[in-house]
Amino acid sequence: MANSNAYNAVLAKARAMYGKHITPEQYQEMLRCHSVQEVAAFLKNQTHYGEMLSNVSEHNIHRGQLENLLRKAAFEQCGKLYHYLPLTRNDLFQVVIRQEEISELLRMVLLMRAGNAKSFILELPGYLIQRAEIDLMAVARATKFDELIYAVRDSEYAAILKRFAPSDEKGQINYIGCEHAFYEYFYRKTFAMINKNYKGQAKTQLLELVKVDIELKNLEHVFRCKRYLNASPEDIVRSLYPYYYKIHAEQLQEMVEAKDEHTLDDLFSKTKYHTKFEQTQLPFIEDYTKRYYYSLCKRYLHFSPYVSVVFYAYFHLNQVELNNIVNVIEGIRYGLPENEIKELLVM
Amino acid sequence: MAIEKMSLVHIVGAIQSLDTTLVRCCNSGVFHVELPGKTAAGRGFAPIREENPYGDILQAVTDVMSELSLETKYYDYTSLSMKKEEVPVYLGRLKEELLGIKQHKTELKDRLTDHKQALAQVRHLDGLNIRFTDLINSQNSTTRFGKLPVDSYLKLDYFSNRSFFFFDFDHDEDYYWGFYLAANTEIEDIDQLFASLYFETIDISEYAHETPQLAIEALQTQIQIEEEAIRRCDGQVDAIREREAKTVDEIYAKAKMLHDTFSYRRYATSSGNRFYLEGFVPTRKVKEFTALFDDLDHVLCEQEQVRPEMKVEPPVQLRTNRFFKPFEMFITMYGLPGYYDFNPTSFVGFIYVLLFGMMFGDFGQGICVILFGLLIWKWKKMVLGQALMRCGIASMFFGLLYGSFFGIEGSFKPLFEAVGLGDIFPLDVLDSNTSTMLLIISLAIGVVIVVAAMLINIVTGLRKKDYGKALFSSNGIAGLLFYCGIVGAAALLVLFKVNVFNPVFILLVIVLPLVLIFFHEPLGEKVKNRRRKNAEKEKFSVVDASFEIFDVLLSYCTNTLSFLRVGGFVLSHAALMLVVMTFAHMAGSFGSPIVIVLGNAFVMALEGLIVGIQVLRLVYYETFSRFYESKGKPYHPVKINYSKEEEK
Repeated sequence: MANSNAYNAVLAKARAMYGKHITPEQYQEMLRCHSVQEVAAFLKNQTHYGEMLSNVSEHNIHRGQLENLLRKAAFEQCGKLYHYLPLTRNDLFQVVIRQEEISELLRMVLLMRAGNAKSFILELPGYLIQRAEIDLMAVARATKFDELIYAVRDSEYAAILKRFAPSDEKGQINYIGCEHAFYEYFYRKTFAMINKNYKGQAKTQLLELVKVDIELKNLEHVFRCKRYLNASPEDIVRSLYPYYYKIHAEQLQEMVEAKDEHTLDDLFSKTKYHTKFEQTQLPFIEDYTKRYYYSLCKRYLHFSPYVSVVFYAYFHLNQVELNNIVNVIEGIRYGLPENEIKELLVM
Repeated sequence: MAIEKMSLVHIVGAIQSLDTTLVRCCNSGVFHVELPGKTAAGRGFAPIREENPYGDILQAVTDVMSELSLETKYYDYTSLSMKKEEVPVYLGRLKEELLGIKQHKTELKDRLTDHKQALAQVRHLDGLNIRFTDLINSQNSTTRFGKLPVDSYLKLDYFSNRSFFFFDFDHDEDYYWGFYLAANTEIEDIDQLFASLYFETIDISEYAHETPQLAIEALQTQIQIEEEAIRRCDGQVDAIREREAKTVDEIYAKAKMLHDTFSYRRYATSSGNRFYLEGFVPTRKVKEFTALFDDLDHVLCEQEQVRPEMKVEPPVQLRTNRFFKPFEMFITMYGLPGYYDFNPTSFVGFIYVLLFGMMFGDFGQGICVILFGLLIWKWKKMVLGQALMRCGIASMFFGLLYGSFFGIEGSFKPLFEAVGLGDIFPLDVLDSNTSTMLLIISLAIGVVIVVAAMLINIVTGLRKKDYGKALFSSNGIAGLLFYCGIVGAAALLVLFKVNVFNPVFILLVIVLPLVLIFFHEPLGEKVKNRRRKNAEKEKFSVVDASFEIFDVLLSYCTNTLSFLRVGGFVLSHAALMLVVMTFAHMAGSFGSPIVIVLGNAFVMALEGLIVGIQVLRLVYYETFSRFYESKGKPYHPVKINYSKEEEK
């Protein structure tokens, strides 16, 4: 394996690219926009999305089109950085593509569940049609679950989908189970890739990024189920990802079995995450987890000497920025007050 | 080599003479106005707070000038005959006329932009070999022209079973340009479909009557007409400029003068119908200045020489001889000295020229430095150019001593032989004996400069009666004694094998000064507060003093050794040129002149920059830190800033 330290220029490139990301002051300015078109004009003229939006007429741009373009820009930024990576890091970019594929397949499952599979094509990102390893146009043509399985027959996704195929035409698709299975597969592949290609500190750091991500998702799930869904411990456990890092399996099990919210909070306060989360009062558990993961990625982006780690951190920071912009656009579109939209932003 | 002596000027007069007084102050070019001091407040004078009545007129005339692209600078307005009340009317009329033209031009520009965009769109349809009319006027089908995002274009295949045709003629990175055609019965559905694919319709009905080629020609004609109309608008503005420029310029100059003069009223105070103004004027020019008010009956101008006990803070204007004048920029860059301090410009200039010459000694390159300095001085008006010219002279002088002419070592030998110095000069700097001597000379120069800085500190300290600083500090007499003692004794030991380190010497020259430096703060306080019984005593910290003495000892050593770089650069310059000459030799008879020219240019650019910075560093760090306090306030005489550059 090539020495990771030999790619200092890539580190500098990633940091420079992150340096162009939207600043809190720019988010503040963006929040003052009154329409999607104004946001588009702002992004075109004031941010690093200017190049992507240069040929777009911001006066009559549609929200969906803008979001697609931003998604494409975020993907291409990762692609740009990926070009600088050594060839052995190819697998790392596959993680990005796999995540996009899974997200599109899950969107299709959701649309099928709602009986609206035909609208899948409209939001399908064009850049992914060419880059994905599955035939997304065939996925788009599927109108039934069987057809969807057939469309991805050459990939490992087919086996996952088969497990959730409805028994008859009117049978409901278990979306939550499907989502869990897809991400379980995603994490399994990611771990396998890291273990195969990396060693030493680069491996440790990459594993930390992935494991923390999983653990935070588990935490979110436990809190959400306990607070809002009143789900049984068995149901909660079924939806957890069986990986542990800073929270031991026993600790998580205790949290799952907590009698009430107060006990859950007490148990959480004994975990290592308690001190790491923001100390201010925030409405949802996701507000804490996303902010913490954002800061972790930022730290690795700035201080890790390994290109793979920096690339992985950059990929997540890019996603956060994209989500933030989408939140601003949606918030403005639905007329949410400025401070409410601001609460949704991870900075 | 001093700081300009200032006199404090008090002007008292009848309030109606204030404007005239201020105008004369501005025109004198020597009056540095001050905010009224305690004297004025004690006598019942209060600040004047009035809104500037000339603000609106100045704004209006500046707007008009900007529309007419006139330069804001001083114009002679003595011939301006317009009455005060006529000016706003005149400017209003002019502004309105210009606004009309501007609006018309904006409309034309908007139309031009639209047509240029339409042209760009229709040009994309240029590949279409049919008549627009045939498509648009079809009875059974509808055609929509426009552009489809590339992402959506990839998805068209999905809709192959729908009844429409999409024809593309052109594409770029983001869009496919073309049209879709559908039966009238289906068009609503197809429109919806294309809307969901973010197809942007381009309305070309106004131009698309025949073929795209004809539409392009029609649009081009339209664009030409509009461009012509815009040029006509510009012509109208030119005509107005031609006609009104003189009057507008004169109004501007007068309005600016009145406005700026009025704004200086904030420095004046009034009591009843009297005003009071105070400021500083260089003592050399104070008689000339006070004479300006002799003919004003109601204005009295008095002056007094500034003295330390007056507790005023006069502004600082450096007075330096012409040779070292350009080096004032290094002083102002660092911060001006206090009014009662020493103007170090000549000292800095001398060190700078000497060290630059030593480190960059090459006769030919020195000539280039002079020429470069002359160029940037004359062309870009940069003071640095003048400083470089002086440095170039020193480079030439040392280049002569080193026998270096554009890197050709051993030049000028016949010259030195002719004057009988052929045995010593030119110096072969790369010879081991000469290079050792050069390093020793560098150190010696360093010692002299450090001692000179200490002496300056002692003199200014004594002059300001700051005995702690002058006598006991590390740069005072105690420090000087210690430093000179150690350096002198070391020199005697190394050069003449004379050991003077006996107990008496150690006690008096090493231990005693160190003890004094250690206690310099309390000792200084004691001397200063001798006559002040109730003066507050600052707490003496042994830990602080211990660290300080450690730092002092280290700095004597490092500051002196720092000058070794002077010798180092002499050697590196010679070595670099040796490399250039070796390359030139290798390049053969054709290539060698090119290599010599490029090599010299490279060495001059590289070393010139490094040497310039290094010398400045030596000056700032090794000498200024010993005596210099940049607490002076710059001397800014009041004046009217007619042009924007002046305001900066």
